[in-house]
Amino acid sequence: MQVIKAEGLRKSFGEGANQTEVIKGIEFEVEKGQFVSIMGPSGCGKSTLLYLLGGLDTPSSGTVLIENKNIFDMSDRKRSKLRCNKLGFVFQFYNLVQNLTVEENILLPLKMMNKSVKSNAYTQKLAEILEIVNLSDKKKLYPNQLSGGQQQRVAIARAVINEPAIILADEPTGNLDSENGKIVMELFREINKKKGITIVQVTHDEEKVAYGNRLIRMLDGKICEDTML
Amino acid sequence: MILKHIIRSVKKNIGRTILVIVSIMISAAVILMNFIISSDIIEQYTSAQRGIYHDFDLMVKSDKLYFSLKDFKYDSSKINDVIKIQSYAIMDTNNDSRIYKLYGTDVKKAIEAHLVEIDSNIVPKTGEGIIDRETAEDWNLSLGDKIEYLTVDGSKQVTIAGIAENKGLFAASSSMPIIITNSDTLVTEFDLSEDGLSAILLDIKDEVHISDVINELQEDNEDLMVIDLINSNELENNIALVRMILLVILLVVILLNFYIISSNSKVILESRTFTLGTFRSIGATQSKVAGILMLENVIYGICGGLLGVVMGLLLRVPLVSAFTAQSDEIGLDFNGTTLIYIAITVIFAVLLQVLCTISHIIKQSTKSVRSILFDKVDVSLQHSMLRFIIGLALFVISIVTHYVNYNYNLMLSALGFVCIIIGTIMIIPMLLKYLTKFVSQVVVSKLSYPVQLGCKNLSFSKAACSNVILVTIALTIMLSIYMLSTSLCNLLESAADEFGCDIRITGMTDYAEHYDFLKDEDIIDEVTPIYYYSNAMDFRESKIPFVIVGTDVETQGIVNESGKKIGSLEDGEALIDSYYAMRLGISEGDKIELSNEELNAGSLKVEIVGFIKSDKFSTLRNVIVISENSYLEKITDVPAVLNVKINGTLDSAKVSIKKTLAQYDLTIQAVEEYIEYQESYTNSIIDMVWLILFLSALLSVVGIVNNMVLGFMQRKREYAVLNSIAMSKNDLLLMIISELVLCFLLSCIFAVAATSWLSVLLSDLMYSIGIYLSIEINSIEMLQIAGITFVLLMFTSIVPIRNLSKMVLIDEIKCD
Repeated sequence: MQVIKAEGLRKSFGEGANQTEVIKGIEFEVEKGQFVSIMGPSGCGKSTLLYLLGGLDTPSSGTVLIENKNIFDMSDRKRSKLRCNKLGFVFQFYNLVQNLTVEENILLPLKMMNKSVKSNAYTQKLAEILEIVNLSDKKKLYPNQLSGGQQQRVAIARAVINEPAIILADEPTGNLDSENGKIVMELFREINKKKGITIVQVTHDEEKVAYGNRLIRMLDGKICEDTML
Repeated sequence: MILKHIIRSVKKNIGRTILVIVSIMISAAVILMNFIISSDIIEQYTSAQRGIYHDFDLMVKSDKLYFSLKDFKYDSSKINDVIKIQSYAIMDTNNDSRIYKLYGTDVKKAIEAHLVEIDSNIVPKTGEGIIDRETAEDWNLSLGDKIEYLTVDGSKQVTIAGIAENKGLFAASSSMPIIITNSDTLVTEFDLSEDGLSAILLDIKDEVHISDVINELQEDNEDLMVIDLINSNELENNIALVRMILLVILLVVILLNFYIISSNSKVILESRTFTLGTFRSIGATQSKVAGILMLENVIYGICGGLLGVVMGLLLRVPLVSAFTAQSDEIGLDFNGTTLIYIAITVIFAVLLQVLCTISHIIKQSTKSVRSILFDKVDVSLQHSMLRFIIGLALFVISIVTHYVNYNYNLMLSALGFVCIIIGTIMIIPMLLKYLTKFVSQVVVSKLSYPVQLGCKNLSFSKAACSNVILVTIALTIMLSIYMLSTSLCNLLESAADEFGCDIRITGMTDYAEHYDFLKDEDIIDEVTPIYYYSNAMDFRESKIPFVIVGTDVETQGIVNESGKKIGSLEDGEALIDSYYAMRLGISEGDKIELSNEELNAGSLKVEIVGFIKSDKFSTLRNVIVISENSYLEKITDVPAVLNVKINGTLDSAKVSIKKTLAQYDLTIQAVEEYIEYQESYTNSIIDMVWLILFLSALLSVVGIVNNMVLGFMQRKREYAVLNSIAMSKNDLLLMIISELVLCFLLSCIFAVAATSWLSVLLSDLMYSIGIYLSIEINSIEMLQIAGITFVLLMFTSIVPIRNLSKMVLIDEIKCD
């Protein structure tokens, strides 16, 4: 089953003579449960593509379908709702909300969906996810009290708490040492396998590609290689 | 190179730099005013008097209508010139509401001496006169017009031969318009003796001391009054109050601006951390970095100081005008002393800036290079329990100073006032923490999550906390000053009830019975002389202002408080206002002596046998009451005021009294006019206070907007994260608005709460500077003002709304 479909995707920055096209008519599909790694040299447009897939940025032309719905036809409110329900984001610099505790950061998407986070179901779910990311004893701490690896694990927990269909990860290990990087990638593999969540990650690291089952290589805003591993 | 770096820094933080410089400017302007205004007021008074009398220094008058030159003994070797004035009041037979005073004098000499400002060729002949331009315009009179009047010999007329500027002798007469004519006119028309003078003006030789001449003249002419026309010494005593008012304004302004300067300078310094780190990494020492920062702040101080000097000099004229209640053209000197004050002001401004920033400079320059280059600026608010405890301690100190300061010591009052302000600043972060927790978990827990999060955010954001402090302090001070001004107006209004009359007559030179003929007027019901004498007295080797009241009944708002009662006082006994007694350390049973050369007895020796309350008589409460008989004997038998009760309309009564008293140079004022004058005088001072506070409040608003911009910049990442994972822009907007609503709502609540206590301390401060004014808290008005402030502040939410719409999501979440 197809969960992501990009059609004729183009993205330009700047205006007039200074206009630069960074995504040049990309078309691809991602099936449910795939763990896709997007690789390529700096400036080739891989992060921009990821943000377009997540509806964080708008394309100059083209469409992105998430579960067959064009996200750029949606209002800002509906797109936010979709991000909250169907997508989970993990960024290179963790991007946690500094004035929320670990627990509150993780529960943020649920609270935004007006879910009663104090109910047994969610309490259990939180405990389970904290167990998976190995942060059960840190749930009352604030992000600035955690290491980089721990913060990234919180970001992953936040991304999976409402069991999204897709996780979009932008260089999730780019800011971590090798040991923490390995832990994070193991987590992704576990989530992908156990929960069947589709993962699309952008990475520079060939080693991290091995955790996934599909590799897309980009060069100058175009897909130059698309291989199933 | 360093200057280039400083200019670059100013450009980078232009908004905040302007804010800091404007804050220093306002503080410097108030400092300069403190230095120069009192001397300006004296100068203005002196120059106003000189503008009227020019070279003439003394005026000799009699308590009778006329006196003879033959009776006046003086040493002509000490006198340059003498001008004799005869006067007679006339009523226009064609318009009986127009009463003039006809001055007969040597007009040519008066013109030469600039006592009459008119073309010197115009010298009125007998039957001709000169009027002033203002009267001519008001009453539509022009050259050649004739004013008819009645004399014992029938109807006569005076022809207007000249129209002079409203200066000199014309400016000296306040009771009625004057017509200046030659002496012959008065002698022939009114059968006055050539020797029948109303006044003599004396020009004393420059090398002679005026005070010596006054003493000699008083000794040689016991029946005559010698008036010093340019006596600024007496004014000096009254100016102490003006100085105190300015000192309180300075205290308030510096307290308000200190926080604005300090917080903004801190942000300016923090924004340059990376540049300073780079300097350090390429070899600059800690002291070099501190030196650069210090130099930068000294430059800010100099700029703010110089601008403050300009502002102070521009406000000089309106302020002097407010304090002297003069609306005429005011010309003030710019001399060597002013230059010294300007230099001191600039130094003070620099010191203020350095004082506000020194701790930040030391902190920045002593950080390690690694910390400067790599540590992030923490934008989250730290809740320090120590800070909270110190804040509470300052609150306690302010309460203690209020209760132990029973004799209203100025230092203790100021300490209490400063403690409450600083204490409020210190406890706000912790209060915010618990109140926002309560609001987000209890009050808005059923509302949407963005609202809850917005409320919760408030306790974490430095910028939001800074806004709460700014609004709380600025609004508290504003509310307190508002309560003070309304209390003062209420006091003046309630004082009107205490007069117990409709019209006040002042300026008498004779004993009360001399004016008994007033009682013959049908429209007059009652004429009551009020005896009081107000002046600085020699008391315990100092000059202290006192009002000695001679009365046997409670009157004019003076009421018994304890001890003997008014009316039962024996000769040698006195009652004193309890507040003034406390300030001067006078107790019941004390024997005191008040001396002044103008008193009949030279001094007043009395035993204090009780206390009175006189807040409705005088806000200074410097009142001492003796029996009426003692007053007539020892002070003077001339009443200060004649209170008149009437039985007709006020206007007709005034005209009737003016006619009856036309030959006397008296001021006839309806009580309402008197109160209006007092109110307008008070209001002009309060308006100046408001102007300065308004500028400070404006700075607070600019500071709030600036904090919002900075707060948004600092938290853009947070907004972008929320937007990327869960929130739409509308949700973000809801969150930000909720945060602002709570921020400003709590600020207004804090301000209302703080005002209740600050008003008490402001009252203490006012008592300490000698103004007895209980500040009445009007809760409804206070809430209304706080409500309006809240609504106005909410308009500033346009800043984050605008910034949010311009935020580029990807730029924020991609960068660290």
